[in-house]
Amino acid sequence: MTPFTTSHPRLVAALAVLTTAALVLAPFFVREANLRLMIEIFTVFTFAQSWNFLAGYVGLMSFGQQLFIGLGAYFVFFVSNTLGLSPFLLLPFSFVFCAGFAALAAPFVFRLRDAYFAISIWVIAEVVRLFISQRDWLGSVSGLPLVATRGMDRSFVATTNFYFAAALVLISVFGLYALSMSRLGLALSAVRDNEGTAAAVGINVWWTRFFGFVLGCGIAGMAGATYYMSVFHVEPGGAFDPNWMVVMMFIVIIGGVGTIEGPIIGTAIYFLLRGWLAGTGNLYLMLLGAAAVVVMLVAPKGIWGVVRTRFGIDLFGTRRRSPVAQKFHQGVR
Amino acid sequence: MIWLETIANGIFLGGLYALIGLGLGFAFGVMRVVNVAQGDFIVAAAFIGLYLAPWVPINPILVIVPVAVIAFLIGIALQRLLINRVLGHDQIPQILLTFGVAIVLRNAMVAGFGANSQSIDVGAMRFLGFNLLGIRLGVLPAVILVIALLLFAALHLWLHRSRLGRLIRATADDYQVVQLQGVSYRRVFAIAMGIAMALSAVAGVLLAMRGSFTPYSGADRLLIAFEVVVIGGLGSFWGMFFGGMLLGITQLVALKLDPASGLMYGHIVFFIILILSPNGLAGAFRRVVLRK
Repeated sequence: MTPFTTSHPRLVAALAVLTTAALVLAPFFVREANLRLMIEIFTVFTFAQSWNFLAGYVGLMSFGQQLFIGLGAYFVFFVSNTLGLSPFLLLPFSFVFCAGFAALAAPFVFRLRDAYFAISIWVIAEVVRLFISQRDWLGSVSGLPLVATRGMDRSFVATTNFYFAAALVLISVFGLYALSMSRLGLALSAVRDNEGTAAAVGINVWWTRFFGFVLGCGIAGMAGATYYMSVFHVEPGGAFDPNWMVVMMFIVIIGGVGTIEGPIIGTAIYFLLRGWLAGTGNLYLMLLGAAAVVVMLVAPKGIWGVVRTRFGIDLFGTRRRSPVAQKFHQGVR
Repeated sequence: MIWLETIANGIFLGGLYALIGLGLGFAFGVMRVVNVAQGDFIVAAAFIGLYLAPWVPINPILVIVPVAVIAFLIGIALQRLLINRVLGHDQIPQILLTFGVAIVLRNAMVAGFGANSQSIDVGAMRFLGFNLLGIRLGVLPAVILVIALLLFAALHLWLHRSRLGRLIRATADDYQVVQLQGVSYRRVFAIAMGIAMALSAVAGVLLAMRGSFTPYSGADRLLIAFEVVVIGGLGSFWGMFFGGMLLGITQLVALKLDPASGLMYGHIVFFIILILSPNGLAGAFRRVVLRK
């Protein structure tokens, strides 16, 4: 590992082993109802992390991430119902499907920048939602049930879904860590920070960004499929709901954009708030919005950003120091 | 004949769509700020119009005047209290900030006014019609188109003829140089946001007179505004106007052919334009007609 990063690779590796072990053993000790809640928490965390990856690591902010949640879910439900295949077998292909969709959209949406890029994906999400709502073979507005799981053992379904959700969490924490330590991760952050300079040192800006976009959208799609498989029913109004975007942004902004730890904190706060304010409907959404505004004004780097600067803790820190700065720091000490 | 009527109505609706886009496009052109809450402010303006309309003398359509004034003041407050604080090279903070404002505003409206569909009552005018070249057209849509055209022309003239308009254009070109001349660009930004909000508010009230709205209409309004701006060619005034027309005609023709389609075909036309001409109608005009 390069000596120029602020991270502790051994600590992260140990943490990865411990987390994996805990997740593998969890279904043996946790009740089925709690397992379902954990699936929801894990998949929502993955939604948020996929958006965080795009906004904070690739530098592409999207307002239409719900597009991929819905697409992934519809892919698995439709193909499984039509061909009679096991949805669990199809789940990895929801990644391929959504990544492929993103790859086809990229040449067009990449023509727009910043907010215009963000909203153009939202427009695609609306087109897909309206399209599905009018097609009887896709269940129109009332949506599709998942036929294949009807005959299966409930606890088997819950456990298998849980393992998929757990795999998504591991990918979106430790996979993201590994990616940001790699050459590609370095290229991604260079493109995010300054396109011109990145191009000048020989990085292919368009393809780097393209790769990041496709990867982030694919993960969101697979998480969407896992989420809807654990509720056994998908309908266009819910799957393509822009409120998914509200949840993702809240989690990422509160926690801290562009950090791995931030969305973990954000997800915890989100589910606690949701538990407390259950049944208050709009008040709860208003609070999410207001919290986002306050954080942007007071601490744009989110809770983890504040913790990191205040206490100097940087667990997954993959920020790199230049050799010169390194020497400077040693000299000061 | 029915098609001619549909297209004429599309043009009427398109003028209004152009006006919805104008607010967003003007704010972007001057400040590079994209106010994601614009759609929800448009709906908020419609609610203000709904409550003020019965008190307005002469004709309920004149309610656009007080609503525009209120929206102008809200715009200044929004820019001064919130957006000016997160301005910088990075656009992400301001976009996320306005997104947060949008969520708060939308849900506050749902809590305050309920989710029912509403419409601003303009009395008998809504049902008046006139004949033009053998087709029957509504008076209200025509009046709305005239108002939209007047506002486009007035903004254009004001930006080019007045002192403050010149200042705004200078700020749009280079706000740092403007600062060097002793003018606070933050103050200019606040005025520009006030104007953008006033224009959007007028559009919102007129839209609520033509059709109906709910507290959730903001998202659709924002998408229309955004499409008008992009189709027009990011910052081109008259490009936006024709972009609005194109969307309006598309939507009404599509609704005739496929009544349940909503805004879908408008969205698709937007993507076709984006594929054919990345810098919108203004870019296509420059390329094809001016051969630049």
